[in-house]
Amino acid sequence: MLRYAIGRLALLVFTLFLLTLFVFALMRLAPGNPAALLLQGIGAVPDESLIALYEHKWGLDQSFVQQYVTWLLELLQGHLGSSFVTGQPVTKEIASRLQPTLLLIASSFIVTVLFSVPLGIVSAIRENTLLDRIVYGGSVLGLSVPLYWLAILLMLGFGVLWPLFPIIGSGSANHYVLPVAAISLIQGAYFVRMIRSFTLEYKHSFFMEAARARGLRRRILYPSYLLRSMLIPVLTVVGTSFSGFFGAAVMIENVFSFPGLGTYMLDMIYNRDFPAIQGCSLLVAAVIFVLNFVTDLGYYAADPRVRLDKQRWEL
Amino acid sequence: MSKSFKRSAITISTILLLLLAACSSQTEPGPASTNKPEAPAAKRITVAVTQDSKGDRIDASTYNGARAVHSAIYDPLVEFGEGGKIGPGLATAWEVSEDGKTYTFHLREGVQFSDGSEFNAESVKFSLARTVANEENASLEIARKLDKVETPDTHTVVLQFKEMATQVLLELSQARPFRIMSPNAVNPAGAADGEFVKPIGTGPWQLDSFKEGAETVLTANEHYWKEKPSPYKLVFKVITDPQARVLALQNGEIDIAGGEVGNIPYESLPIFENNAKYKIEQHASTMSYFMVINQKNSFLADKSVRQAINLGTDTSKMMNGQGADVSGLFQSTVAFVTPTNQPSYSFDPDKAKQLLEAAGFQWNAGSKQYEKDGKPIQLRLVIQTEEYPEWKEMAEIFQSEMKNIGIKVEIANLERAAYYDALWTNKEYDLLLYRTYTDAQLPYRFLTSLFYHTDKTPGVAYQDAALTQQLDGIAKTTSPAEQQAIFDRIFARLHEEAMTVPVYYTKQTFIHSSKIGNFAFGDIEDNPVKWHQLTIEE
Repeated sequence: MLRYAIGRLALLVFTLFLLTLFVFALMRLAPGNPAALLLQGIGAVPDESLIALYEHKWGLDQSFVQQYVTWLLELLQGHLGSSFVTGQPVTKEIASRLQPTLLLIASSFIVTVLFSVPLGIVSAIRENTLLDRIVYGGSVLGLSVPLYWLAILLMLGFGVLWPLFPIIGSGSANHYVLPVAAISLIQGAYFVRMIRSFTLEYKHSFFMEAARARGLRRRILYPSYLLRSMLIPVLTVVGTSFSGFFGAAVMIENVFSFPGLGTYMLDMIYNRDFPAIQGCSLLVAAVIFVLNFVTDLGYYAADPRVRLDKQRWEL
Repeated sequence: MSKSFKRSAITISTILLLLLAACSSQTEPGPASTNKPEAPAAKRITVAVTQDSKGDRIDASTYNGARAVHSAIYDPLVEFGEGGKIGPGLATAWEVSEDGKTYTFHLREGVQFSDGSEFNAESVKFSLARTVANEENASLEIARKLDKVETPDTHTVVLQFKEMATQVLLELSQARPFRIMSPNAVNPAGAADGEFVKPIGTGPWQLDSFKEGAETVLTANEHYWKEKPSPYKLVFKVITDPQARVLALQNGEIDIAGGEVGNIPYESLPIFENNAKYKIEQHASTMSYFMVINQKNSFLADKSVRQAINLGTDTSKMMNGQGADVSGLFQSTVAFVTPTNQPSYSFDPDKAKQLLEAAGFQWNAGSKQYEKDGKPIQLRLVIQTEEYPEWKEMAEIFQSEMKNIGIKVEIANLERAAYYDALWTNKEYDLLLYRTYTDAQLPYRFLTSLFYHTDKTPGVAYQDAALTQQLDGIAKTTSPAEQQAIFDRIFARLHEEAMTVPVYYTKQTFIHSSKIGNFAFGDIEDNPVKWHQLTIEE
């Protein structure tokens, strides 16, 4: 177990390193000069001398390698640099924006799992019944609806026509209802579909046929055979879903004017605030990697085959 | 068997419901109470803004935060009025020396900052020193030319300049960065390079609270000198999505939206028209939308083509004809614009075609385009819709109008950053839709920013030596009559050479709930509404 964990961890750190390099290069290759944008924003003419002044202040006049090494050394000391736009340390800015986003993602995740996992399983067990068709139809609908449109529709329905919930900001628990509903409906549609198809696959598998042939009752068959083996696919769907939730949260935060990391990131991307974007993407990537790592450990715990197949899993 | 499954399903769902109930039991404020906050000490008037106003960093000498918040907290020495007339602000009177090097301001007595401290010559000296020390302001005339600030008595300030300065009053009147801040706003107090602590000004409002990315709350400045302070709190709420602003107005989460601070998409206006619950307020603006022309394009280097494009553009079609009639680059509200000094091209597609033919272009009946030496006129029009969503439709109308006179236009809708790259640095456009500045920056600062051309720094929007010489003339005289004469010639030159394609004159549009009374527009667009006069009617 320990060797397995260390192997995964080493791979993870290496991938993170590659990712930071990638983001670092990408930002500098993208059109748009942060100094020119800042000057334009304050109504000054971004002439060469002013741009040079800012580029020097921000270290953008150094070579790419120099810039990257400086940033990496700072990172090793726990600093993410200072934002071009606000001049504040990026770590401080991220910290102040993190809480609403985490709360939004966590509650959407819980709601999604709570309704979609049971629905997916029940719908597969009741294959071809009315319930199954409704659930299946609902999930296809959910997969094809654009998130932005659904969010606006929810705002119009439950914020304006039937004003049950506030639609702007994140001040109270009520502010979370519509954003969480929007994310959960879309993400849940995906969950239901995946879990339903996995369940069907297992339901019609040889081991289930064999168990059925042995005359096992459904009361034993479903909980101990089907649900037990469902652990692996559910773990896969759930464990790799963070990026989907985060992507949805970025969009939803903008529609509902949530003062979270999503609105911050988008704003900083528009303004080409390199340190802020690097900091945010590093954080998001790290979270995704850690969750993948935990999922891998989950496989190890849930699937005896992983434990046996040492050659394949231990680097 | 199926019964038992049903039973376990019921058990599981009951547990889930209980869990959900447990989660939501923290929800104490009911939906109604979040929509309408229970009347605390002061009622709130909520205004939608598109961007975080960085309420904790609104330092008068910087560009941090929304301009509307700057001008709500800080007052200028002199105020910008209609048509560019400069009136008294914190200074009641001023004299400018003949050579334009000495400006003497007589300050208003009995004015206090929001912290109760006295407004005097020292606070003016501090504010100017702090602004000049900020490198962001290096391009402003005061920062470039200021030699020293003298304070002969507590209510007189003398600004000495190294050379003739002609834009001083205009720069002082803007929302930033020359408004007056209390020396107590920084630590140590009165230090030009002191650390900013909190905004303290003489304006109608002071900062109450600030939540990053969410809202800036202002409360009345009890010491306000000009008029009665407001009994309400003014909340600038960040709403990034335009549709969300419309919905928030509809459900009452905000009371006011519009203008540049919280623009409402014009296609949503019908929702609020003829609706007793809302009022639409419109007011003249000073901004115009126009197309920047790239002379590097061989077709556009030809004056006839530039004039033909102007003649072929039917500006009355833009925004369903909601704008004012376009005649020339600047609106009639802009300083130095008179009814007669700004000639314009009126829509005449036939004349446009004649011009093109006279310039040697041949009509190709197959492609329905004009061409010269077998090369058809094809132009790339660069726009962005992040800040100006209405530009997409305008570009499309322009495209079809150009098709009528045999010119093919391709529209490139770029991301904001790439768009500004095209404008300022890489010049990868033939035509680029842009906007003029506003108020005190018009026309001089705008024209010098975009049209001032030297061999070392080529003009951004156009390169014309004669125009540059005329602009130099403005910097050499403080006489309004002489400046007027020069601007007459500048406007004529802009027209004659067809250096731009004016497209649309903007208007300021605000929508507010009809329970908000006493709505009045401010004197400058950066201070769009007289917020402190607003009332809430029951």
